[in-house]
Amino acid sequence: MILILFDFVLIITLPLLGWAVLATEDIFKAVVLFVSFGLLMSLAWVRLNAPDVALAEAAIGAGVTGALFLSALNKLERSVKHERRINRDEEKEAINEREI
Amino acid sequence: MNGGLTGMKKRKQSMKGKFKRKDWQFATLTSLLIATLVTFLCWAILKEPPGEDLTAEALAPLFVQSGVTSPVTAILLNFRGYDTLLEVMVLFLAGLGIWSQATVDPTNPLVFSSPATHPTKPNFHGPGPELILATLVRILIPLMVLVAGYLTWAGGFQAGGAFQGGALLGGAGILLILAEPQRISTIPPALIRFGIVLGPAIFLLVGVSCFGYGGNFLQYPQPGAGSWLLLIEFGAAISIGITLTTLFVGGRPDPKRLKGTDQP
Amino acid sequence: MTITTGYIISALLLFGIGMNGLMTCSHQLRKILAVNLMASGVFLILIVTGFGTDGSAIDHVPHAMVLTGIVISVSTTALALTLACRIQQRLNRSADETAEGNDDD
Repeated sequence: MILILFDFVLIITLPLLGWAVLATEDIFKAVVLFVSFGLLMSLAWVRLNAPDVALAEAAIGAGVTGALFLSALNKLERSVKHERRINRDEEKEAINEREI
Repeated sequence: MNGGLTGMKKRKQSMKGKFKRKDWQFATLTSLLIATLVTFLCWAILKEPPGEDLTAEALAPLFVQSGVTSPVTAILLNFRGYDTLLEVMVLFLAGLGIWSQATVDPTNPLVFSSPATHPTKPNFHGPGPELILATLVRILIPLMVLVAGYLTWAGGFQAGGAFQGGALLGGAGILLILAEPQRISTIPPALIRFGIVLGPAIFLLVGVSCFGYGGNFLQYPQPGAGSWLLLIEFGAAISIGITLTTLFVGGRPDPKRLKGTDQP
Repeated sequence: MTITTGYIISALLLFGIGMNGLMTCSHQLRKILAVNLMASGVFLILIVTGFGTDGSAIDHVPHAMVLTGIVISVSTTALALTLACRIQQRLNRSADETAEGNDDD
């Protein structure tokens, strides 16, 4: 019973996390959410009786891919000057305009 | 001046408004189309009656024949060895593509070396890692290598295998590079190249040497198939680990800077 | 309505969300993340097809395929990220050159 509940939580959380990865404003937050998505995915593999895939997903899908994205984000931010901050400023500007 | 600025701002706003409306229409269109696609796929998959289950008992003799008792490893390396060989080659090609695309400064490998217009600041303060990080790395790295070796070996009879072990090795390498980015300049590039090629080379050599035993390509000789598989797995694990680390570094060490690390 | 049906719907939703993000997001990293989400959805469907109803009868071929797929997806992701970084570098360089040209005027 408790395992079925666990399954339901996974089934609902996985698409929600996937949506959150693509919907968050901050790209850094998106990468962190993607890493947590990978960890939940490896839980799903365990529930689906695929321990080999769970091991590989935990090590590669969550660990190495997250590290790759973070290092690429580091390089991109170094080259796109203050990209994240520009987005936030625009957001603030939009909020100010709405208030006016 | 002021008027020009407000005019520009107004124009920008109107442009933004136009883009927003177009974006909104485009987003609605794509999400509608994709919702249709997903509904159709859902119907197609759920309509399909579940196929006849392959029982583990019926397949057990085949797995014993393959030289390993873990079914996934048997499928990966024996029954569908071609797939795995090609996969190792894809990983190798990705490493090759990245090395041909970019160079990194070996004294500070976490940034690109080429653009002179963007001077790069070193990421880490001081010459070495801080105390906690250094201690953590000193304890964790040998443990990770040990567990990676165990996972690779355990792939023969339980969950585990070359990919899991290799991924763990790659994680250890990434941790090492994050802790001491400058250390990469002390590794001879030839060693890295050798490590990357090792796995695919062993796989290919074993595959070709199967001809000598009267089999086809990757059709291992029957009594000792397990040891062949173990050899392939260890080679592949080492290569996957090193390749993942080089993927993380994201470029080949710049040979010009590699030679001139001591004298400017 | 068994639990595998739930996993299939979840996987298809993931695929759709990823595809939508691939089309509508403009940032390169976000696009690559979207492709990874799509891949996760496909892997989930593959594994669920190999999952017997009672949990004892399991087809291991999809497991091997998904293991292969995970490693392939990480290598393509790494290559795509490097290409994205290179593209950004080029764009910045040309933008700097035009900015310098404007300063001269």
